[in-house]
Amino acid sequence: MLTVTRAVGERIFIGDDIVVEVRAVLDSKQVRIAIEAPRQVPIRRAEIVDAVSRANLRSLAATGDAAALAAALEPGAQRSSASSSESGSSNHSS
Amino acid sequence: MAGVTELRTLEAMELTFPAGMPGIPGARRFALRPLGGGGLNVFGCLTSLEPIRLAGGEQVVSFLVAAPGLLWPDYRVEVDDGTQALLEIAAPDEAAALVLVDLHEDVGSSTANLFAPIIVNRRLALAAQLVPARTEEEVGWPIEAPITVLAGR
Repeated sequence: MLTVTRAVGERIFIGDDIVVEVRAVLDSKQVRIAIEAPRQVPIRRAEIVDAVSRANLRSLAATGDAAALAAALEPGAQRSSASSSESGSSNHSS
Repeated sequence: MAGVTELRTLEAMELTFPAGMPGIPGARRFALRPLGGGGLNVFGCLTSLEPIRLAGGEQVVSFLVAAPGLLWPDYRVEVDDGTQALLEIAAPDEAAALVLVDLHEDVGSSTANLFAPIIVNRRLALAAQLVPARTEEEVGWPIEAPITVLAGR
């Protein structure tokens, strides 16, 4: 882990093609940062990735047994068939 | 790129997740199997082909997934450049979205993650979970969307 002090307008290179720049200090708790990276490099706020990770783990915890799950869901799938026919949007072949 | 196909039904296939999934880093290869007969495979099971190391030890894991097309007719997904490159998506019609279901003990209160769907390249059988750069409020599709066809069950 590298911790550095930067002034507004100063930049940091990560590898050859990622640039991080401090754009503004908004107040004692917030800074604005600009990140330039190749299009295929994902840039995500950590709290969003964390929320998705937690949701994934919740989904896993709830669906450990595929066979039980299939039994539980079979009527559900048929129910959705009925509701889609009612709405006229049924398309069994797609 | 433009939005992807919002699948109405699921088909059986083996999927490779080159980047794993957030929170489940070792998850690479999964089998997707539709659940329910009658030709309307809205729900499916996504089962890991290898044991995955989790806090509770190594185990084969399964997700319940859903094809969103019939359940949420207005649902649209925009695939970012990174995901498009990762999945080698050459044309929008070879990409499809499915969503992870959080099946509750009270089945009727189960939810689906419309915020971060699984994007599938059907031609190459590659898949990745799309994690938006924007917040849930900005995207407008919730991470815990109610599943109305299960309500009251």
